[in-house]
Amino acid sequence: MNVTEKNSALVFISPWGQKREVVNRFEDYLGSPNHIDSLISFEKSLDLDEQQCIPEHEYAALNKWGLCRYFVPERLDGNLRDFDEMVMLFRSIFRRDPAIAVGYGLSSFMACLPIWCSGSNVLQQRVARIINQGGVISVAFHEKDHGNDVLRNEFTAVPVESGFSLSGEKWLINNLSRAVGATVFAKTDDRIQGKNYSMFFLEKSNLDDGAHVDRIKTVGVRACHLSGWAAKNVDVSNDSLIGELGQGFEISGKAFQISRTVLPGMTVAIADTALRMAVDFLESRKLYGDQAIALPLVQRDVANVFVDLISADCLTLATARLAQVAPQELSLASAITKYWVPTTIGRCMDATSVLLGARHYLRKGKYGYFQKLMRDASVVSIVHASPGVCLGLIVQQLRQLSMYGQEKQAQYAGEDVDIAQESKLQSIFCLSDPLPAFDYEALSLNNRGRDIILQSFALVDRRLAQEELNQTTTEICELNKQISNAYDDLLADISEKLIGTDMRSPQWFDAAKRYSELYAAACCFYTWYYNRANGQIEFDAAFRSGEWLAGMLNTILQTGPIERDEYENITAYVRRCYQDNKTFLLMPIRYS
Amino acid sequence: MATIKGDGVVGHNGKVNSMNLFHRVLDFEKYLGDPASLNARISFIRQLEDDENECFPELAVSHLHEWGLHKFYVPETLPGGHLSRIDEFLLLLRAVARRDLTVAIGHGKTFLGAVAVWVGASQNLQSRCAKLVLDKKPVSLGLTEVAHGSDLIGNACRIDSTALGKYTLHGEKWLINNATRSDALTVYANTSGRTGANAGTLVWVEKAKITGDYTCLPKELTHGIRGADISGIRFDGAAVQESDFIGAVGSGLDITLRSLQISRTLCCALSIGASDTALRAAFGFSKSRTLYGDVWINHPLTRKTLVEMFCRQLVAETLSLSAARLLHVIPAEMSLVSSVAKYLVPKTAEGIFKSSRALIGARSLLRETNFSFFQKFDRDNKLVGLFDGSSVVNLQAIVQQLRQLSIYGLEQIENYTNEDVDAELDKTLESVFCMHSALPALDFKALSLSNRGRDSVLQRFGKLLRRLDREMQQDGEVTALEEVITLGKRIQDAYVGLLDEVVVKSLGKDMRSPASFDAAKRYSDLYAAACCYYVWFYNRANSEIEFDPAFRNGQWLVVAFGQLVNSPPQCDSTGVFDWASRLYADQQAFSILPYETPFSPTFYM
Repeated sequence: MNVTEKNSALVFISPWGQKREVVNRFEDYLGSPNHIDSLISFEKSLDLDEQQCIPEHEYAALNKWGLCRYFVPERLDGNLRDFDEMVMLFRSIFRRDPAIAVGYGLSSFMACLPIWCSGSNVLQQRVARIINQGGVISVAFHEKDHGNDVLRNEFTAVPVESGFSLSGEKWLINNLSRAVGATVFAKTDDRIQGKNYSMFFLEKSNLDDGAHVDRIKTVGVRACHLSGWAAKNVDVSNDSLIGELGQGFEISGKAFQISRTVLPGMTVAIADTALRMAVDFLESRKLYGDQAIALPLVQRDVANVFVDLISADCLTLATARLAQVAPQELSLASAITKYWVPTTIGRCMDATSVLLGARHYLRKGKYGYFQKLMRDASVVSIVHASPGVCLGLIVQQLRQLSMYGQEKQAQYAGEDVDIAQESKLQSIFCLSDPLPAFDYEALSLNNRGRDIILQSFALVDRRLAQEELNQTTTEICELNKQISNAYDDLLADISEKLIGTDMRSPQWFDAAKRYSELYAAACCFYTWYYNRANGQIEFDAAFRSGEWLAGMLNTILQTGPIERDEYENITAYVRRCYQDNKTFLLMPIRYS
Repeated sequence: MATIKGDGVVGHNGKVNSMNLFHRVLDFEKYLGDPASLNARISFIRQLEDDENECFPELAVSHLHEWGLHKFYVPETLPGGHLSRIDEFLLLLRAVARRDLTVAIGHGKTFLGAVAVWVGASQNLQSRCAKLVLDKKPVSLGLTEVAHGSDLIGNACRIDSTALGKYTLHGEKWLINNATRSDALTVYANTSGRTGANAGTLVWVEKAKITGDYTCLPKELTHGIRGADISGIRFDGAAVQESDFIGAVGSGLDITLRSLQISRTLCCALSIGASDTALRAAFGFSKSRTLYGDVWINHPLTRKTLVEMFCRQLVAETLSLSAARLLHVIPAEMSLVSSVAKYLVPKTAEGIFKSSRALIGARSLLRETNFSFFQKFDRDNKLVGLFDGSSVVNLQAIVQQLRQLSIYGLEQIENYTNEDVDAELDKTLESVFCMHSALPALDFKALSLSNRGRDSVLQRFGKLLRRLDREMQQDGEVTALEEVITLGKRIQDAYVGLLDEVVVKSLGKDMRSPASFDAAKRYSDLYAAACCYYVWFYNRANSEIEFDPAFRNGQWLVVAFGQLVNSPPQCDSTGVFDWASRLYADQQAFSILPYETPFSPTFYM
């Protein structure tokens, strides 16, 4: 815990408080998006979108603040320590302009990850220097004919005397026109499936030896520059290889777990702004003689969006923190995050567009920004593995998860406690607790059946049940029982009905969806459980009492619509946040 | 009663098919051509260019005039008018919507502008309006305002009466399709100085007669239909005549609401046209793409998604056609079905787009590749659920009738437990749902603001099931029938359960309560299911129309509505999937009606 001196008294600042200070400082630097003079303003961003211009000025200013250093681990002289901090920092950009967030450097971050995880020391140092100085690098991964089916990619790197000779075409590369280097995924062998691809880091001179394909026009993030790259016998040196030859699939499969975890967490802020715009409209709108926000149907819709938003907040902070506490379980957590969060945020965008009515369809005027957010959100949701692909990744683990999960359920059925597991949960979910440094080498392609979130649920649930319960916590206990039962049923379904059947069948995908939902529900529960008495964070009383949690669990479990007093209370809270210029999320950042 | 019969033209493949009833639709489809071709009268590529450049699709619209689509905006009872069957008109509009929504919306608006004149205006005004429309002049409708949206009662635009029968029009209409391009508009304005149901009047305004007293507002930049003229108009004391009033003073709301029953039904054409193309794109992509070592369409999840989309398309289409035919046969019940359709059909189409996006992946979000038309359709389509009454507005219209529908419905169900009480009514249903039955002529006067509790579709659903039951006992051979009946019974149970719930919980009494809206949604789903059951029932042995065997066996009903009830009966969807594949490969529309279109499947591959 950090100790600073203030007015000669010692003030303790928790890690959460420190992160909040960083975010507040960044917010101050960015200024209000409603003012055209601010660094990023809605008006300027809408213009950049219409004109499809690259926001060079904004990028330079973000570099000046040092945001690029958050792509680089501390050990390489960067500022990246905790992923939850990174998520919350980038939310400040996402809530203003997702295109700037994506264009500024998220692809640089993705490009770096294989290097941070598996690159040589020399390569790590070199790339860290580039990024710390504000340089941009690209990821050349996808190919036009193969999409997410990367094991059928055709781009080849043939070993030659001095290194490799690259040929083929890559597609949908972000920022190539600005890049000083690129991470490239290439086939290096024809033989063993899964061990026949490698990753390379290419210098600008290498990229210039190939041909840049024309800019690709997109529906959203129009200010980003996407293009392709075609190589014909482009020679690169031996030291451009990242990690071992033939390890490309494994390296990228591990490294991208990180980006698949943090990216959805950042995009939660898009829906935060969408809700703020909707509330702004509803506050001023009169319909059928009433203020629109006073209409019960509208209030329920507002509450539904808030509940989705806060659930996505809980899940994404949890998985960002889990990366550091239990990195060997990130393969599952990242896939669930990248499936569940874009799906949930998409629902928020749909619901807020309905609340805005015809206004959501206009590109000018007070709410003209909304349609841009909607388009940006749709692109961001499929960037870097679509929800469908992530479900597929979950399916691959379900057999082991069910077998090991059932073992654990049997073990915890008695009065067993598991101090080690519970203390891990505590450090994942207690948001003010310090996190261990991330171990880039601990990632694994597979959880091997382990899932601390759902497999420990019975333990923590039991602790709650032993407390003196009030009306809300009684409801939570009942909802928890539903989670436990649904989890048991799901594991039984998998082991009794699904194992042995075609894993491409819809039933497997449905099981993966259900698994994700229960996982998200459990994360919401833990977030409440481990923070309800947390004095380090200024949570709203409705969070602490469990009222929101009940709403979240009811929504995720689809037990029925939100009840009247609940949606009224939530709407009142949302209106307060709106009036106080605060985000709707767990970290109550004040808008500058 | 005058009847309109289909004529017996033989289809170009030598078979007699349903489209003989709609030979003009086939002719129109052929005239418009394959949108994949740059030479077609509406082409994907050219419309995309108009979209990118925000240009009004002049060329495409001129082609519609050349063929004479505008003549269908005028009832055939007026000289030169061609509008005789709403179902045919619906399919004509769909033909345009399948190719481009901006064109369909930009051109079709004229009907929206004129329909109130057909419903409520004097003979003289009808002739003037008809002349303008037949002269290919755009007509627009001015309802919405900046501050009031679709809340007509709160509207601020007004007509002042000066002295001795002189009237002036003041105020602003906003977000009006073709406000600038139109030659005339139907405008809703307050004529009483107070607010209330009888406060407004619709007035016919020809721009040529009010020169200098109006200003068109600038084009609004929109998310989709970027080429359309979405603007507004401000009237500064424009002189209007009493003879330009549509109907009596104070009848504006009444005429508007009755006109909307027609236009809302026709809006469905836009949705089912767009979703037909979305589904075709998804099929084409899935058949051409190899992923994970197999063609995408061979992946079980892809097949399941396509089957679901196809069934949703069939439901949306069947509901749209049912509403169109009901307008002829039972116009007094249009207040309910037009709202059900306008709520459910655009929503269903949006769902189809969403699933298509998931199947197509990145290409659904790119403004290039040969799927670039998809993102334009997707953006354009998002508007259909908004105009002419948003889904909330339509649900509210259902909520208002919910109590009457429930109380009367429970009574009727009781009555119909006695067998065959009313053979006359069976005939009525048959003429609604049997697709080749002759239709009575349109009678706009018979439209009513409320169903007064009547719902011939759901209230007699139980009777249909009993007939099916009887048949099954006689004939054990129809394989799918048992599942169809099982599901039908669950739907009936859900319907009765809903009516009970409405009565017991007094839903619909507090018209703003979310629970009432939820009930209206459930009512709509059940209504759509019942329509599909009737259409299947009255056409499965139809020898006039060459329905697909997969339509006739009824399995699609189980696939389509299984989700509506708890524990749906098991059903193999292979037959339904094969049906959809056949339609795609044979260049047929995704439709219950067998009809060929010039859409070449290779383009999407």
